[in-house]
Amino acid sequence: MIQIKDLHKNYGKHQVLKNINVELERGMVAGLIGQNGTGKTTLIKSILGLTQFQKGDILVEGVSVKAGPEYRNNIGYMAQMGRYPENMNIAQLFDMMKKIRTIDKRDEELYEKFQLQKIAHQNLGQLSGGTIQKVSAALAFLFNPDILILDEPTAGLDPIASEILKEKIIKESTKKLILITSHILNDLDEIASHALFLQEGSLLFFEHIKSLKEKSGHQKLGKTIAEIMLERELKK
Amino acid sequence: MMKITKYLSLSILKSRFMVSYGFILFILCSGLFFLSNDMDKAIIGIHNVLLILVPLVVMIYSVSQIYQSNDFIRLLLTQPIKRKVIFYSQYISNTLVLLLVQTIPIALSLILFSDGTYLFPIILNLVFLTFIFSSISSLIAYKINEKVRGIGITIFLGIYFLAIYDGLILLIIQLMSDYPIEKYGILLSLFNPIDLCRILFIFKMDISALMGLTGAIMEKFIGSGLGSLIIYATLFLWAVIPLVFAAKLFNKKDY
Repeated sequence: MIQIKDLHKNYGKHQVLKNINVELERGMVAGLIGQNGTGKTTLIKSILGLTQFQKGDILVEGVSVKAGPEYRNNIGYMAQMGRYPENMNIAQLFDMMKKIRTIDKRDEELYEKFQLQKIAHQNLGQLSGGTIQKVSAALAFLFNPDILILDEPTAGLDPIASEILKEKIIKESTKKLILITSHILNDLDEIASHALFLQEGSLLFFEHIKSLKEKSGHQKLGKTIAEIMLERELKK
Repeated sequence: MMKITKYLSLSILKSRFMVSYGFILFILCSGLFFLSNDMDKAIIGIHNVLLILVPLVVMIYSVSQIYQSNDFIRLLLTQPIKRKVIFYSQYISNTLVLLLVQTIPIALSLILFSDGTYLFPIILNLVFLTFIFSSISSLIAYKINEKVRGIGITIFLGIYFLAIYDGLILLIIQLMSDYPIEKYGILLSLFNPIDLCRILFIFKMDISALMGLTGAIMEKFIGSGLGSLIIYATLFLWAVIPLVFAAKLFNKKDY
């Protein structure tokens, strides 16, 4: 569904993404892992068309992201802690989005489970960070897109909301392609099927999490990743 | 485009700043009528207040509004909408709300306390100034990524147009006073939209006779159809050119 071909991106002299080649398919829950500043968010933003890249191409269902904004009809995006217009309320925000994306088959499960209708008339400027995350999550799933891109989805959510979101991701995972970045490897361990590991802008590996665990013999993703990192350090 | 503009405008219009700004403008303009017995003097006073207040408020407000809505614009950019549509929605909603908040109190005080002769020229200048300085603000805000630097440059530019530029012109005229440079004075004022608006208004008020030879030459220039056409065209360009450059920057910007 998403093909990334030979992607290069630099800000001035600073190379952020180097030669990335990946093919992501329906049914995958790909966890994007890497240290801070390794280009995870830049990669996501390139797929969404938020940042321009210098070389290579990204195809979403066969169509280049440079071709026009229509491909985004099929993508739901949950941003890292965004600020919304202070004097707009939740109901107005959802109304506006529904008018922008005229899709009849809507998925309001998260909207209901997070009980956003109770605070629908509160201004977005008054909401706490966690509540804003709930709004972002509900918006990402609202239009039932085939591709979901979630940037740090569980950061700032309370344990109950976090569980609701994870359940939702697992439920949708067979029908969709879900790309998640997270620093909380335990969360990824529960939901991700594949791991994409970025280091200093290059793709180190892209593998099935099960086979990774089998290779290393560990049960936990965190330990597995740590061991892989250690091995690579030793090889150097 | 209309949908996004509508929701953005509504959310801006509800801010406390907009409501109080409109209220202060109304008090200020009405107050000037009570301070002076001469209606013409009061109207010149109102126009001078506008020339100082409108550029500064429009620029500082628009620039900080653009920086503040950065995250929300990013969310809109991930939706299936063209970048151009998002850019113009933001520009139009900012400008229209500012225009509304300024026009209503000023028009109201002019209608209530004067005979309304100068309503049209004052509102026309208001429209020009709001569009022009909103365009310039977009250019600054999309060109400069740091908020503090952007607002600093905005304030400097406002003071430049309001005071520094006029000072420079005066200095040139003073230094070259032995030569017939009145014509070039007009040429120089084309590079400052605030001066253009001031000139347009002065000649509507018929007080140009007080300005000596420069006044006479300007009167002749504006009195001719071509002269006022040039001034209106220049004001129009002042609004369009920064906007076109801002749109280009927005199209290539990394969010």
